[in-house]
Amino acid sequence: MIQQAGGKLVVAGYGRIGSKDDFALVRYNDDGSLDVSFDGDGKVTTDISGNSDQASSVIQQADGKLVVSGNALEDVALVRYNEDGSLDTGFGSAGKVTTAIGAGNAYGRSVIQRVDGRLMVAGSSTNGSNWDFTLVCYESGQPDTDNDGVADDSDNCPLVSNLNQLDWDSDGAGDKCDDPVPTPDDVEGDLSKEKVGSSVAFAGDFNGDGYGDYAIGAPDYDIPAAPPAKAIKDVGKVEVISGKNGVVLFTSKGVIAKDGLGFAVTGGRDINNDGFDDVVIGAPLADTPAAPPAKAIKDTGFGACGLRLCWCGLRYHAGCLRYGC
Amino acid sequence: MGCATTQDVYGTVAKTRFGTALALGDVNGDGYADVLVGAPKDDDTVSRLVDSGSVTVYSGDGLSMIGTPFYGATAKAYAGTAVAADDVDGDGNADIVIGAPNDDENSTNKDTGSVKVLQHRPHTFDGKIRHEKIAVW
Repeated sequence: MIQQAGGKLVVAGYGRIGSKDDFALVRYNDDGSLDVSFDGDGKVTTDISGNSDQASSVIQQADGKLVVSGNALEDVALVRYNEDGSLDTGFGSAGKVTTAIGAGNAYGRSVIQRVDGRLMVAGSSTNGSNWDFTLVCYESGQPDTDNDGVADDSDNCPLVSNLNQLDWDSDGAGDKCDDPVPTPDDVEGDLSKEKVGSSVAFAGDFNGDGYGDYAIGAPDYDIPAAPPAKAIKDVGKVEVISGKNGVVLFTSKGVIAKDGLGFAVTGGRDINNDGFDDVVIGAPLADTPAAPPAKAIKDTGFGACGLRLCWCGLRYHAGCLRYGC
Repeated sequence: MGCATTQDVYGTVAKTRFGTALALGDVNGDGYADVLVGAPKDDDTVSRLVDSGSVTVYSGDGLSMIGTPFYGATAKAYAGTAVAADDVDGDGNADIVIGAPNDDENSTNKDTGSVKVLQHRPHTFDGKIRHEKIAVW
């Protein structure tokens, strides 16, 4: 079942017509009444094989057409309908497609449309002795004017190649056809002498939204404090800024005065193979800690502890593993 | 081995610290990685800003200068202390990120520092397509 704009509900299943089952679609208004604009009475049945045809799943394409998956006797079956419930005769054979999988029965339980317009059906099939998980992928059959691999009827910018389909303002028009992605505002430091911009680096796609992000270091940042407490001076700070909208995605601060965290920063690589780019931050004046009565080794920074790096940008890490090396 | 060749690019003004920061990125969409060079002690002579700092872009296809340098907004901003270039807005072209660690937020809040993002932008608009591969920011 799907819900359409305006609250209408479309339900896919099957109905007994005579002595056999046919695909059945019913569309309801948001008050529960049958939508008579849908094939005259709100109900559609479709015979495919002349035998048992049972629908399991329905989706709506961007152009409003409905794609229904199921099985037609022993085969995976797809049927596409126009918005008014009539068969889309431009799809398959008079609106219907059947696919034999193996020697026995096959069921198309669920259907999705991929970003490139292709239809993917998941279900099961038997080879005569056991049942197997089954995936079937169908070409969209739709023109792709800009040859970007996304069919026109699914492409948010059909005349300009844009496989990434980015749409920063979510208005349905891809960035390539829409107002430009706005330039993020300049990032100004908040506090005197914190020196934002002492280091900058491309952070890759830090949050996985399709847009590049960047990291900025402010190694002279102080942690402020209300008097009579004193600010902790020059701990340093790094922020990762969204390239999409300029918001701060991640912040890491030094802990002890004169850590200088953010003196160097780099990113754009996926260190831990979690699918997200990471950021690495240098704190060259950090001290190597020691349990009393031993004293911390001052200003070890890089080197005394191998690469004295703060792996602050690893996604899902709560903060800087200050002494993690 | 031994096939490496070098090509030097010199700053044009003394004591600008040209080369303090470097980055590579195809900012004009011609398929070549362009070279960005920071000179944090450069002066914006037009706006009369001493040590505003600058970033200059050189074409990866011949190392000719692309456009004019980007200068810091205030005297002693030291823009070009840090620079990065890559695709921020997802249009396939590299954008430029410039750090100016001694830029002033205002006349009383000194040395806050700032970061500016310069996105690759078209200079024409045909009613539909607004992202084009044109080296204009």
